[in-house]
Amino acid sequence: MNDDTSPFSESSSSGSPAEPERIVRVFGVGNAGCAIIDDLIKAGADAHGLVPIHTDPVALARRNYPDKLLLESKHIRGLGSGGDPALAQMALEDNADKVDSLMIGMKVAIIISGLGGGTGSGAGLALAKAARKKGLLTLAFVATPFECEGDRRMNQARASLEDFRKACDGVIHLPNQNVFEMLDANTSIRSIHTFLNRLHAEGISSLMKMFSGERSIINLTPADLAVALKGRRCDCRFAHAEATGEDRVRDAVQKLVTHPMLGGAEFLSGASEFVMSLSAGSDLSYALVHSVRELLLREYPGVTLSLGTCEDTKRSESLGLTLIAIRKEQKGRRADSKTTKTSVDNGDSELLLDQDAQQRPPSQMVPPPPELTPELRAKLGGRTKSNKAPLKQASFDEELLSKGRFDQTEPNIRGGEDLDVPTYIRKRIFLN
Amino acid sequence: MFNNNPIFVGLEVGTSKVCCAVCELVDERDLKLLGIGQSASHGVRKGEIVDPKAVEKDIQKAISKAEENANVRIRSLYLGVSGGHIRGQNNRGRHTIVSPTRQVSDEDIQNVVKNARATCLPVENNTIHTIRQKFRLDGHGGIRNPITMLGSDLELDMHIIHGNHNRLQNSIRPMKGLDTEVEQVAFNGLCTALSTLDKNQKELGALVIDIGGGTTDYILYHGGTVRHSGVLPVGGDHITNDLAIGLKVPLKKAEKLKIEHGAAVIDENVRGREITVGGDTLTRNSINLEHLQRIMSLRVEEILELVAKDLDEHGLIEYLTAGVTIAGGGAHIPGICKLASNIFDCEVKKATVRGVTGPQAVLDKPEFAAAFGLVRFGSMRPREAQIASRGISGLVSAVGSLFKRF
Repeated sequence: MNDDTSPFSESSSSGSPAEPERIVRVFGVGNAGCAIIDDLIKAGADAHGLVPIHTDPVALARRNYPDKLLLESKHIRGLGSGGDPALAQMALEDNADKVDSLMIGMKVAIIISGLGGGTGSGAGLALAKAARKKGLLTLAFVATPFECEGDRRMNQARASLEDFRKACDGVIHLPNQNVFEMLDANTSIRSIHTFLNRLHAEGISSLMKMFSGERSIINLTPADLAVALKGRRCDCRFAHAEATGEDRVRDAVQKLVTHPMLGGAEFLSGASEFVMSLSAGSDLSYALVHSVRELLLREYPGVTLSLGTCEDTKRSESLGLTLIAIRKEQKGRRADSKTTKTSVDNGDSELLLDQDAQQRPPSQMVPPPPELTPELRAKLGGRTKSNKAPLKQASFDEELLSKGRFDQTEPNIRGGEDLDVPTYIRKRIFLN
Repeated sequence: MFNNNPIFVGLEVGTSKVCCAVCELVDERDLKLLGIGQSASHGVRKGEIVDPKAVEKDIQKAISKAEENANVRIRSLYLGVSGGHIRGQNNRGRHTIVSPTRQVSDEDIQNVVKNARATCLPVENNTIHTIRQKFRLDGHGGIRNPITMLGSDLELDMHIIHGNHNRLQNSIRPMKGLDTEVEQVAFNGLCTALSTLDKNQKELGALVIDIGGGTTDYILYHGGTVRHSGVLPVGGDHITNDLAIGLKVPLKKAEKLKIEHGAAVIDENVRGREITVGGDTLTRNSINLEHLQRIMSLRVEEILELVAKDLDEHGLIEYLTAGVTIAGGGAHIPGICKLASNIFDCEVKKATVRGVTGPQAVLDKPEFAAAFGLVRFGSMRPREAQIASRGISGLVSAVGSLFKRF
């Protein structure tokens, strides 16, 4: 049964050419990408779909995968990219034929990489372009560095995140810095990295399980995700939550919406679309799917929710939720989603009720609320706090007004104006 | 040469220059200019001292130049003060005449003066001048000297000029290092009026605006007495600073541009005109004259309007029958009289020093008006007070000592 849980099991276990062939290729590019796909294996993925790509031969040598790609190039002479994306990009272009051979027969390329360095940014981007060129649906999971890694890496990461958005069908942004909302800052770097990689791997593997279509009941394909992610200016976040026990639906949803990787209520309330994968054991029922949907939509009524499910025989009494929240930079999105919802209403009510009443959502059953234990109360207390956007004190831009030689002197306030500031500036007279 | 005429020295420590005027009093009435000493000022901002050491040096320079020019050894002088902390306010004192004859006596006058001086100043403030305005007897105003008049209720309006004690002391402090005593401090604005207004103008109503480097002092005379006074801590330095910011030139160059091309109203001929100023390659060489004049005229206009607004708030804007006199370096700004006459709606002219004999070229300089005024101020003090004050330590007596005759 072990094989059945793997998303790429059919082809690899039977080896029969009649079986549906592998269509998804996951590339882990650079240090971060390789580390995450290592964790994907631990999370139950099959090594056959995964390809680590690196410029550093040492990093690849200790990894045991059927397909791996060492970017050999005269530009890097067997060393790493040294943090230079341009070098790594050239190295990948030098290995174009190898890359192409890895993509033969594939329909989806998932690129996992960490931005800010050389290989992840440079080779990852070149890979995405190559995959798009070959006609593959390209999704990228990109992690951005910690703030403490410095401005240079951060700026480079930001720039390449933009490049990725242009090059891929969909980009899912994983900000590493947000991990400090889950872990104490004093945690050792090793355990933070382990935790992060596991976190990303869990989420990606659960998505891939669903993409494989193997046990999915309500189907959600990579194409659905790509459609949702389409648009250059969309910002998306990604999180995975697991819960077990009686209250698993409520717990899992709660964990998900307060998940630091989703950036809290501030981001979620601005989101226009949720793409969610739900995985549960044999107890997966419509009631369960419905209550998850209901709970989410109650908190964020305006969003369009695409939900896919898959049955995981390993689970019992447990629920895994993976959410991709997408915020598109466009105006009037709330109105759009509402009109699509209300269009279902029939015309009769129009005669009796006014426009507003039409948009009133119908009453629906929801699961009963859990008993309020002290721990739960503490948790809820914490939640309300995290849901609030931090208040900021407003300030005037007084410093914009120049005072020249009188900068350090006692201000000359008369009638609310500082007379030391040039009159023409205070009167807003422009010289042209 | 060696006559016994008393010699009076006025020292004005301004933001842009230190000026020392030496005059002798002839026939107890006329002042004769003996000599004048000037020095650039380096330690003053907005009329107040920010670098006492530099100021001390500048004062020394100005005094020794004046001594040289006048052939006088200066032992004591009158010091002018200004600054944003100085305020003028009117106060009314009341006294009930208790004598059975109901005749106003000297004692009554002294009492009402005492009452009029007693005002609610902030604790840290000191009185610089108390100036009698008019007496009122049983509600009848306009009385100059009520002695021997009959009545029961005597009132006196007093104009009080006061300033922050510590800041006044800071102005006097640099004098401590020199072997010259300060006989008395006086408000620059008042002194400018003393040297530039004649009796007739004081009676009709005249405003004196002294636009200096760091401050604009103003004082309004009407009915022969001071009705209002004030200090605006804005002056020529601000114009220079505005130009430096607006035209993106160094302060030194801005100062030069102000003097050479400045104007209070924009000249029609400069529209779109550019001038090239010599300089290194790092600074801009091409200056738009129209911008220069616009920046400057806005500031000058604002200064004058703030003064006009202050007068208006006190209901005194209609009292300018004898017009406005502009003194200080600001009076040199071309077109300022035209601009001021639009704002105040009366005749405006540049200040010239009156009542002093000397070279007309010096007396016509509006920037010396305050220094001559200090001399005039000193010469107007009663003889006894002058002698008395010489015995007391100048620093202590200078501030807060009372003075009543104008």
